[in-house]
Amino acid sequence: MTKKLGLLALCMMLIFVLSACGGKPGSGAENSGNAAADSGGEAVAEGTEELTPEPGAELTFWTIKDGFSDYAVQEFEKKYNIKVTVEDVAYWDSVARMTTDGPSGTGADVFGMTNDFLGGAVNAGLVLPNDYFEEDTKTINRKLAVDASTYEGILYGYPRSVYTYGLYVNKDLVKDAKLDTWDDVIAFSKKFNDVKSNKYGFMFDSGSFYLFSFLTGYGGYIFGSNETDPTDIGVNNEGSVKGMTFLKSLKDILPFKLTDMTRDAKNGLWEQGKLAMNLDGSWEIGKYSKLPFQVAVIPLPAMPEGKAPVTLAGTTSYYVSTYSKYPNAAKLFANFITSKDMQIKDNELIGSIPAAEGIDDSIRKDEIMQGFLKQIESSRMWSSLPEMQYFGQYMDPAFDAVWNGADVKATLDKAAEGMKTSIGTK
Amino acid sequence: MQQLAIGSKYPEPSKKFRKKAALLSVIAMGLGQIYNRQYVKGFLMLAFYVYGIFTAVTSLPHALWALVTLGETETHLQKVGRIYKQVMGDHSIFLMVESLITVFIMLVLIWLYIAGIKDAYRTGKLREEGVRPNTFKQTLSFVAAYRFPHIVLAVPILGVVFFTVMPIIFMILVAFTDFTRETMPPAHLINWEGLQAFKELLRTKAWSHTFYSVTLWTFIWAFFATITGYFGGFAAALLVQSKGIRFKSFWRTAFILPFAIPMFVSTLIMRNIFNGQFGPVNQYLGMLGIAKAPWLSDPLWAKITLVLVNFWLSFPVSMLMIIGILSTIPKDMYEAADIDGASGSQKTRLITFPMVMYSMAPLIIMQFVANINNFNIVYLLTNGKPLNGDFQFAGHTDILITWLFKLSMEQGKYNYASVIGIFIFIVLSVFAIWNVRRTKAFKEEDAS
Repeated sequence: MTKKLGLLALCMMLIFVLSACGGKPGSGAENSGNAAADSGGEAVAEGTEELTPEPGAELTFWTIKDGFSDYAVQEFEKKYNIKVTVEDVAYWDSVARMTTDGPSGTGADVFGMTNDFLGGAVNAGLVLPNDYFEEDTKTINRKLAVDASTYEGILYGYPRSVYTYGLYVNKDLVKDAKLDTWDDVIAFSKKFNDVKSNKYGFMFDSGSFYLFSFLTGYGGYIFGSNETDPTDIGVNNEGSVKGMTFLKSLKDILPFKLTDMTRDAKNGLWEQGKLAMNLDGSWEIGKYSKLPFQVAVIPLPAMPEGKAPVTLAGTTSYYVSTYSKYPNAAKLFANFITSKDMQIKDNELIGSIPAAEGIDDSIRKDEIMQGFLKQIESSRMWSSLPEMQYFGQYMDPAFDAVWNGADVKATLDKAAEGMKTSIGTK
Repeated sequence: MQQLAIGSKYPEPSKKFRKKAALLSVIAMGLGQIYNRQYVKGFLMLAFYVYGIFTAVTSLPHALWALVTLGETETHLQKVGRIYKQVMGDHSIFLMVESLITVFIMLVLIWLYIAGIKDAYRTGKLREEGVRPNTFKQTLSFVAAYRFPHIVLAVPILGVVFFTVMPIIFMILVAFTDFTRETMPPAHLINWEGLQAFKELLRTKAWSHTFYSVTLWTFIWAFFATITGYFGGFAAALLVQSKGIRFKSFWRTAFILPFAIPMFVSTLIMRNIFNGQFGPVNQYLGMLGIAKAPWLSDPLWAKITLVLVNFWLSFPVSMLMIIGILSTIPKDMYEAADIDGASGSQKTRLITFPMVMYSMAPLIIMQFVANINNFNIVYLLTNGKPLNGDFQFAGHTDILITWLFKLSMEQGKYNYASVIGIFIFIVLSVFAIWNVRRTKAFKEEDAS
């Protein structure tokens, strides 16, 4: 009789549980005809007709909310009468969230993503190719942005903007000092630096993304064949070693450890007007335009032998989810908000660097924007390969070790070895 | 049961009721009960049995197929004219979870089935003794009167099974697959790999070196973090409670402040305070003409800083508890010690310390266990830095749990993370079980 304990109660409960899960087990097989595959798309099968949004379409849109995204969504809703729900998801968080939310049907139809996540997203089967608007996209955008939104020969993204980093200069402090080469920067800093009152001439963010520009300046690269060949690692080639050796020489004007030079500390000094030159990203344009002192951006000065560092650049693009119930409407939307006119508006509203070409006359004329446009010309798109995840993992400690006095060649060899091992074990 | 059963003998020759009833219940749940003339109960159970069989036949084969293969068709894109279409395949992770749920439900059903057989057997035995079986009404009133706690407990037990045990089983299973960012479902299928992940983690030079070093540091960290926090609290409690100290409540309040501020906030502030270049600590040291310490940039210093900050955050809790225990120590002990001419240190060593340790020992062990898994402070204060090129995706101050976090969230090596998770789980279980077993409450229950 003891075992009669919850017998009845359990019976009742289990009936509920079972009826809740009863429908489940068969669903794996039935799923194969899921909505993404059989939603109306017959009309465009031939590719000659107009792409028309599915009747009753509603879109979920993940982006970083800003003045531009609000404007673009409004315009789209006016024109097509399709409701768009915007959720604030960062470009570097979207893939991780889509991996779980996509298959369970709660993900976005269109989401924004920086290009270093593209390979991973394609591998996880999250993004539909940019098939219908491929020609438009390729015509209006820089090759650099198109290549960064392409993986294994197929174009996936709808590029919105490009980003890189440059030298923000506090003109009130620098005045008219000559800053053509790094020797000038070092000379200026030596005069300007005042450790007691925390004043410095030059500082950078110590992430590998920024520091690697010194290595690429002399011909270093992460992956060969223009960052597309993961079997060819160039972080320890002759150019890289040369660039790293030069970077080490900047210790004279930066007398502290990289661990202590946090982003918080650097930005704090910069905003207080205690830092004359700040190596930072173009996504800070909006914030740095409103500082109480005059700010300009100059392309990175030349290193010895007249080689300027080549900055790493990235592309922010929008992508259509493979799990979208309304792929046609989603494609229309992604294309609409990344058109040439929209990119001009984007630049006007929040100061993004357009991915589109040939619109230089209609974008901001200030010294910050113009400086970045010059910098983009001597930049190199960082890789969209999934192997990219190992770059920071092995290069961050390498930069740290070299800065603390380790041998340049040996450290870089070790980092390259680590990357090769991780990529080889796949 | 017996106390409720009606004692009258009813004219039935003593037959082999129990065997028949049990056998019938083996054939189908509820038949034995019907045979025992408990019709309503019997039919209810039979209906439930039919439903269970139906579920088993329709879903168990699929669940077993899913568990064994983890899916067979990959999801892929197909080009139709100018447009690509997604053709859905199997999603290994979903399949794994769904089939686990099915298997768990089946296990519960089997358990019920066995309980039904036992019940039929027992009722048959009572009939042989000449006791009339309970009617359905009697059963209901018996259950309501005597089995109420079990019914209430059944709900949390089911909750524990489906929300605690099952996820743990799922996590353990992941360790035996090749689930990484490269094989992300639904575009890829996941495969069973046996002990491959264990082998790679414990045998490959780079990985095992990281694993052993991080494990060693985890235990060293937990030991020092616990000891400093506990004895710091002890010392503070003795000071606050000692005779002749005025404004005791003020001191208590002052010392509890570090605990009152949310740990998240204070840790992030500490991170800036201890910054080797721009932090106030080093600025002041510089003013005093003392050399700056590399608080967070030197491996050994960073470890010391972690223990220091943890001490600051954790001693108030120990202090409060120990103050509570101090007030329970009988005063006459100290008076007797005074008469015998004991010194202050002797009183502390021979009376206070053993009395406090007696009550605090299990709490210290639990604190040690909590510190093994103290994710917050390591992640927020140092985030594993300073970096270490010899380690795989870990820094000098990473402990197992933060390394696991980096492996899964940043690197997508879910199978490795799962192996480490199993290791942590075993270590913590051993401590927790050992701790529970040596508590008084547990021993008393055993003795009864």
